[in-house]
Amino acid sequence: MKLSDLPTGLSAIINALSANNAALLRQCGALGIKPGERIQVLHRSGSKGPMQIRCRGTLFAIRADEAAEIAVLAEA
Amino acid sequence: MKEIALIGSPNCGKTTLFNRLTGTRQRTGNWPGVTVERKDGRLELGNEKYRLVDLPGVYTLHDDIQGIEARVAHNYINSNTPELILFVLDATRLPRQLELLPELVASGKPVVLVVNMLDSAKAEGISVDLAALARESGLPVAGVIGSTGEGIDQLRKTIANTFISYPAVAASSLNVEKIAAAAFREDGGVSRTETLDRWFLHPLLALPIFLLVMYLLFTISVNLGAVFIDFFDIILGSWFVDGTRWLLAGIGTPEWLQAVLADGVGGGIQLVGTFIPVIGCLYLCMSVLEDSGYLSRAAFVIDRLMAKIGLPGQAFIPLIIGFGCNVPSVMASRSLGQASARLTTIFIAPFMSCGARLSVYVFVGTAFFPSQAQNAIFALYLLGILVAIGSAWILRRKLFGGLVGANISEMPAYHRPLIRNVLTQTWHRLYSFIWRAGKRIVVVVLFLSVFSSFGTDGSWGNQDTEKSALSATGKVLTPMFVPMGIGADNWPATVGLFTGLFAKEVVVGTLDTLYTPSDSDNLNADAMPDFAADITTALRSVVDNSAGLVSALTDPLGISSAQVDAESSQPSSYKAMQALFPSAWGAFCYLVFILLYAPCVATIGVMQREAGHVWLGYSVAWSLLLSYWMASVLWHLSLIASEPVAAITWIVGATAVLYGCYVAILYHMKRGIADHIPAMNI
Repeated sequence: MKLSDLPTGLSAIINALSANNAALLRQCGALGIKPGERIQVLHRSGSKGPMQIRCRGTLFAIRADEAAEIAVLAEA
Repeated sequence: MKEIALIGSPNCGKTTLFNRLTGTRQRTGNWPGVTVERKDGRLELGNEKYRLVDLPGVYTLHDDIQGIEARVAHNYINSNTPELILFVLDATRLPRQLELLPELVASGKPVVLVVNMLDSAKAEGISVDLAALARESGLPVAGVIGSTGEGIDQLRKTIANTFISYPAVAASSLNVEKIAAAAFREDGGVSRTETLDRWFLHPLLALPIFLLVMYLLFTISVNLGAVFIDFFDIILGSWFVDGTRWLLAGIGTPEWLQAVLADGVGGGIQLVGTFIPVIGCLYLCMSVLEDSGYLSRAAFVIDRLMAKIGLPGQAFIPLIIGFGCNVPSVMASRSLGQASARLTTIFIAPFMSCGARLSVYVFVGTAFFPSQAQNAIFALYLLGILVAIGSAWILRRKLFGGLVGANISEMPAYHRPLIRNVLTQTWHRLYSFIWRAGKRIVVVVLFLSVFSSFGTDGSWGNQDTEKSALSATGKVLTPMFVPMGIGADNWPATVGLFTGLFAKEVVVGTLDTLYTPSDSDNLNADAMPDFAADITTALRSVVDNSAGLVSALTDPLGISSAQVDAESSQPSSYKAMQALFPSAWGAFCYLVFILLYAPCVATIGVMQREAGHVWLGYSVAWSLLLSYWMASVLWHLSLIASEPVAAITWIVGATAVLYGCYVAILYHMKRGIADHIPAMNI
């Protein structure tokens, strides 16, 4: 499942980051968004707009395009 | 002097802490990456003096996403200079912030953990166990609240003790996750930031709230600032222009020197001064928004729209400010992280119709199409926006297409803005405008004013007359502008284009004077200015202008009030102007040219400073070509009925030339950008 598909309010565990976007990969690494971390979608701006996510107590804004490159496993 | 490094991630309150420890003031903000330059301050502990070095906010040392900043921090930490590292952590985001710790410990220097923003953590329902943090990490720990100064004394003691004895800690023995687990606890409730975000990021309410905030930002800053413009104009004009001339004439200096010093330098200072109130107010409002944390929410709300033109949501702020004044607009683009986004924003910001341009629209518009002036003005604003969108689109497609950005950014927690922080930050930026941009503005004003003062007959003091070298040049160049419909004998309009470079509103003065049948009233220009009376006038202007503040609430751009002014005065220059322009449509084409041709010298000055002269050159060439093409094509469209062949030939020819020029410009930009962007401070 992609992070961009995760419904608002639910959380998931990051599974993998796509290697297609090197800039995103590096930035996520620096911001601590890594495989194994728990991530939660808090808000969305429209269906295709950016989303607000929380990872380890920090809030981030990420565009849906970029969120589509992050694979997550939804928590049961 | 021993050096102490202050390091931490962006928005951890490092700068506030720096101010607390050293006593010097510096700006802080809530946007990731706001602290770019290195700042030194003196820290006194007992009898010892240390130099505290404020490093740029970084997430890691080895990574290159932050480019220069991470490298600066890395090189400094691993050099021999710092003898101690103060590692500032935002308590609300402790687990993630600790990631940097192993890299710092690996440098082999003593590290003190400073846990900041304990008050925010409490409000967010987070508790940090400082004792557990010290136990698990084996490092000295101090808890502080940078905004109130709580815990600073304890921090000083901790620093002093660490210089005496420091426990040996190996980077390999540190388990960041374990440390965080022991020290960081969330109560599981809903934090303050989350509660506020429910409103500010609400699916339905977010946009109305955003629009309201932007409306307030604009109305308060522009209109409040405008109240004081006349004040600065009158006072500085009295002191630096009239006063200087009187002084120089009194000691018998030659006329050319008077022109250079009084009109050039003095006029330049006066011009910079008139920008101070609006820019100061804009920065004040911006700083409040930035400090509160709402700015990143505003970016979030508008992101979808900005994504369409290839810009991050944050770029919206500089652009909306552009409707007030292009100068702070260009300067505000600095907060954009990506170099491509920043350069694009600086490039398109001048297409936003600023308040000064409005006065020209109103002056010309009221003369030619009194009943349609509102619509004409609206069309011009819209045209500027469309040109900006189009230019951004072209840049993204042709220039920055290969650069894949990563649009993920931190959203800081909400804070109550600290008045002291806001004021220092505003002052810092205003100061930077006055001194750095101001210098460039004065130089250009000096040049232009000498040019307009020097007469073709060798005399001086010919401003706004037919005799000046500027008017002569205007006459020579007028044929160039005939294709855009200004009329063959309409040289005052050409001169207005030059003086419009000073500041757009100067066009009004120039046109008014040059179209009015001349009778020299400048006879006693050398007399001593009546300083007392000028101060009274200046103060009265503040009172008069404040009265207009209420009406500004419903008309933030001041369109209708500016119209009332122009209509009530009905300048005598209108007749001459109406006679010289071939038609009202020609006047509209002239306004289109005014909108686009080049930003004023103040904007040019800050553009040069923010983006370098190469980028400035591209931008000015781009807008000059575009404005000429747009105005002349619009004019020839009106000629299609009467002389179809010539008009269509012109339109096709001009379009081809514009296309060719743009391809050439983009080609050069592409080559230049390869060497330029990496070197640019991100």
